[in-house]
Parts: sequence; structure tokens; C-alpha cells
Amino acid sequence: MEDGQRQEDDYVWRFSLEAPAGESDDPLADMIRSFMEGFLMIGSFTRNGKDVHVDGLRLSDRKGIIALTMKKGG
Amino acid sequence: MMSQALGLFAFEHHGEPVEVDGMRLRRGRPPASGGRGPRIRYEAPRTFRHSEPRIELLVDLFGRMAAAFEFCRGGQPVQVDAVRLANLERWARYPYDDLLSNFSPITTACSARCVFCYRKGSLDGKLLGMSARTLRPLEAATRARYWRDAERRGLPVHRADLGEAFSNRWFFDILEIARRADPGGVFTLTTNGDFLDRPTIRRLAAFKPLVIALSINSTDTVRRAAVMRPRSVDNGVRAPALLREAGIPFVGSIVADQRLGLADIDRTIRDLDEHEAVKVRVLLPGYTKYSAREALPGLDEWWNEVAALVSHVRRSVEVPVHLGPAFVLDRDVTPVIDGLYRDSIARKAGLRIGDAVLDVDGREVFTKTDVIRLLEKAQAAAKACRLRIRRDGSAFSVVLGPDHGPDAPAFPSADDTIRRPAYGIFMNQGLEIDGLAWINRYLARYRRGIRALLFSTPLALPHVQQLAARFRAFGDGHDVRLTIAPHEFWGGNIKIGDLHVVSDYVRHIKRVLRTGWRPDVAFIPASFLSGRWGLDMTGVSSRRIERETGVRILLVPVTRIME
Repeated sequence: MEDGQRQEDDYVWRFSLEAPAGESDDPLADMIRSFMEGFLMIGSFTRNGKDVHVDGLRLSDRKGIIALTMKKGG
Repeated sequence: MMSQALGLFAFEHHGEPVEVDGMRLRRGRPPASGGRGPRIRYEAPRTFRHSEPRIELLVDLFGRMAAAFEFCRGGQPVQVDAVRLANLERWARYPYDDLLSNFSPITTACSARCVFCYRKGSLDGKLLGMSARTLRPLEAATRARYWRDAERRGLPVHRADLGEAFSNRWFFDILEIARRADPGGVFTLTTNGDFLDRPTIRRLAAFKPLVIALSINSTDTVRRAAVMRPRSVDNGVRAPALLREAGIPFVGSIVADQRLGLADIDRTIRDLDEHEAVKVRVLLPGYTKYSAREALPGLDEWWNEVAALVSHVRRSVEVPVHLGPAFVLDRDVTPVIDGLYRDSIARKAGLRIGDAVLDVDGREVFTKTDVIRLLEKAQAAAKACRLRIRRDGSAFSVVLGPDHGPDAPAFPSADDTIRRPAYGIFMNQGLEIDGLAWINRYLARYRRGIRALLFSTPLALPHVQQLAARFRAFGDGHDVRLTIAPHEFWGGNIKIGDLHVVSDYVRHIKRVLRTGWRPDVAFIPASFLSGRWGLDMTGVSSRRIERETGVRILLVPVTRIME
């Protein structure tokens, strides 16, 4: 099958987009934090080929650290 | 990343595709979506976690993006309430043995209500994030369309409890779709036999090669009805004879529930032998803290009684009898033959139950898993191999291999693979020596004493100790402590390591740390993880153990006991 060719009669696997419950007043920061937490469940950062454990991130426009928790993943 | 993700997903609203070419930061909260279309069915992203966890990650990201941004088309905002998998040919990259496995689950519904059903122990799959599902022909046809037969790769599958496949009203339509797209695949169908009447079995015979895993439990109609409460007691009891008549290989399974009694288990094994089952699996009953009221007293003694029965009956039937978990019976690691498949090369060569295999083609073997792996490899390559055998204190050699004569049929055929694997030698699974060798290689890299925690299970521990002593494992100067993590998540009488979850290890390592002894590393057998993403059965990553305890975790490669 050619790449990009769409079969009109294919079954559709569709996923509802759930609006997240208000976590902070900064949805962009929430988005980045949530994505990073999800990523850390299935991967890790590395340095010189070795895993590096991180437990937070800091956006350059602010002083505070955004903690990354392990709530995701069941 | 966004444009790459959009090549794999497409947006929609109320089930209709929505073209998106940009987005802008939203002012204020997003408007209400106006409700869902009444007949639109959405998938649960979590059910794909074991096959492709990035689906869940990206769907969550899209949901958060929709809250923070407006999606646009031609500079105008468009409403979006869902994403769908797009360009399915790019998703057809996950390895499966056969297309029918890629259809799983055919249904999660079951027609029987077994007293020992494992589902009670997981609150009907809720603890594992599973949900009810029935495969329809449209989804099967789509999966078949994107199946890459030469590479054995297909679309990601849902994780779900397996129900009674034949109760799916489109079962034969689905089977036909699978067989057309995967003509050579050996399909395995697990069934309680409820629907296996004569016409169904005749119809089934047209779809070979296949193997039926028949959860028969008892061939006595009264006892079978009492423990399984099936839709049709008679169909299940008659199925072995009809399957044999139709030339469909089958494996009979017995959950050795106490209510059956030893005499009934014995008789069922013999009945299955008479009907030429490929193998009989006797499974020791287990319960979790969620199904504790289903358990009967004296279960530990009952396990030993069933193990003794299996040990005895193996010598008086032709069919190999598997006991699960095998370590209950095998206190010793020595690779002794536990059974011989009917009409097999090993049986014709005169091998017997109790023979110990010393080496395969000159390579010393230490455990049953080592032997079976070598034999299966040799059989798949149609290569003869020489076994050194010890029997009654003396040793001799025997050569197992295919007949290469001019009139010999192609070897191995699908039938050989199903009915006579490993040249016909059956061994209950054992520990893998490779796991210990792997640990030794790791420790050998360090001169100084490494403090290590090595996890085992109550059943496997004697085997680990035997092998460790034999090989002087763990080197000199290292402090390797064997330990067992209690099954706190499941509770009940769960003992095998395959059923551990991440939280069991986290709790146990934290307990060890509280004693003041801090290991440099913890070796954990990887058999509690499934799939290539290293997730436990609840969908939690093994990475969490290291993050929550601060102790370096090394996953030791071992085979799962649960088949």
C-alpha cells in the first residue's frame, strides 16, 4: 500500500481528546510537564551514552523548578 | 515533532475528519464541544500501552494542546474533539507470530463462569486497565490489509482479557479474513469448548494449520458443570474426540481446582491421552487477595498432591503432561526428560521419561530451558543433533534428526512444529543459566566488592542456589544477597515472579534500605515485564523502581514461566 494512501473503508481507531482538569494557571507549562512525565515512563535522557535521572525541569523565563512526578503509568 | 505526529494522527470533530494547518494560542478556556456524536466509539489509549505507549502519550499531549491552543484551517479556527490513527501503513510495524494474534482479543466476553476464573483476581481486568471489547469484521479486515506477511508485522493491539473466541458472532468471518491474509500462520485458538459441536469442528478443519488450546478442566460432565458453569457441558466433553477425528491438534488444560478431586484430574489426563491430545497442561490454582473467598483451605498441601499425581501419571500415559508452575515438582535443576511427544523422533530413538540430558552436540547443558532451546533451534534448521544421556548411572549417546531420504517429507512441517516440538522431547520449563551468566559477566567487570541484591521467588530460589553453587557464581569479593519480594499487589497465594509488579519491588527495596544496607545494584529477573517497553502487567514502567528507590536496577533476561 502506498504511503499516505487512505482506504475509505478502513476501520477508524479514534481517541477522544479530554480537556485536562485545571492543574495550574499556565496550561503551556502543564503541557510540557505532562509530556515530560509521560516520556520518562518510556524513556530517559542520556549523557555520554549513560542514563541521566532528572526529577524536574526549569523554564528559562522563571526561577522555580517544575517537579516531574511518577504519577503516570498506572 | 508536531508535524511528524500529524503524519500519524488526524484530527476530527464529531467523527468527521477535520483539516488543520495551524494553531494559535487560545484566549480563555476552550468552548464546550457541543457533546459527542451518539454512536461514535472511542478507544481507550491505555489499552495500547503495552504495544505502543506513545499513542497514550501523544493523545494526552493533543488533549492538552486543544486546551491551550485553537486549531486553525486557512487562518480560521476549527473545532476538534478527537484524533484518529492516520496513515495506517506507518503503524504496521509491530511483530506478531501470526495475523490472528494481531486480531487479539477476538472477544473479551466468556460463555462460562468458572469458579476459579483469574478475572475475579483482577477485578474483571480493571486492575490491569483492560476493558470489554469484541472484534468486528471491519477491524479484522483493516488489520489484515496492513499485515506485512513476509515480515510478520501488523498494527498495534489492544491489551485485554481473552474471552471465548467462538462466542463472537462473526468468528468464522474473522478467521477467514485472517487465513486469507496469512496463509501459513499457525493459529492458536483458546476455547472452553462451549461451541465445539461437530459442524463447528468440521468447519474449523478448513483453517489449518491451527492448534486448539482446550480449557477442558474435566471430562466428567457433572464435575465440569460444577466448576465451569459452561453454556454447554456436552460440547466441551465431546470436543477431544471430535478434534482428533478432524485431525485438529489440541492441548488440553486443567486448572486443578480442589473441587475436582485427584481422581477426576487423573481420569481427565487419561481421557485426553486416549484422544491423542498433543499435550496436557495441569495448572495449579491461584488466587489473589481480591478473590480470596474463592480459595479453599489446605491449598499448599493440595499443590503437592497434584504435583505428585502429575509425576506418577506421566509414566503411564503417552501424552506429555505439563505442570505449572513447574518448580513445584522440580526441586533439582538437572534437565531430565518429563515426557515424549507422540510419534516423535525422540520417542522412536528410545528415550524415556527420567533420562537426564548431559550435553547437546558436545555443549554441556544445565537446565531444561537450555536443552529445549537448543533442540527447537536444531529442529527449525532441520539439523541433526547428538545428545549425551545418563540413565540408571550409565551414559550413552543418541542422534536426533530428520530423515533426509529421497522420499522424506519436508521437515519440519507445521504439524511437526505443533505436535512434536524439540524433536519430541518435553521438559517442564526450568531456570535459564544465561541469567546467572549475565550477572557474573557484570560482576566480573568490577574489582572491588559490589553490594548486590538478587531477586528470586520462593519456587525458583532452590534452583538459583543450586546453580550459583555449581558455578561459583557471583565471583569472589562481592556481597550478593538473594531476596524475595512479597506479592503485595496481588496477595493471596501468588508465588511466581512473572506476576510481580513494579510496586512490589519498590516496597521491598525500600524495606532493605531501611535496614541500613545499601546495595549498589539490584538484579531483577525481567520476566515480570512484557513487550519491548519494559512495562509490568499493570502498565507501569520498570524505570519507576530505580527512580523511587535510587538503587540501580539491572533487569536479568529470563524466560517467562507463564506460557
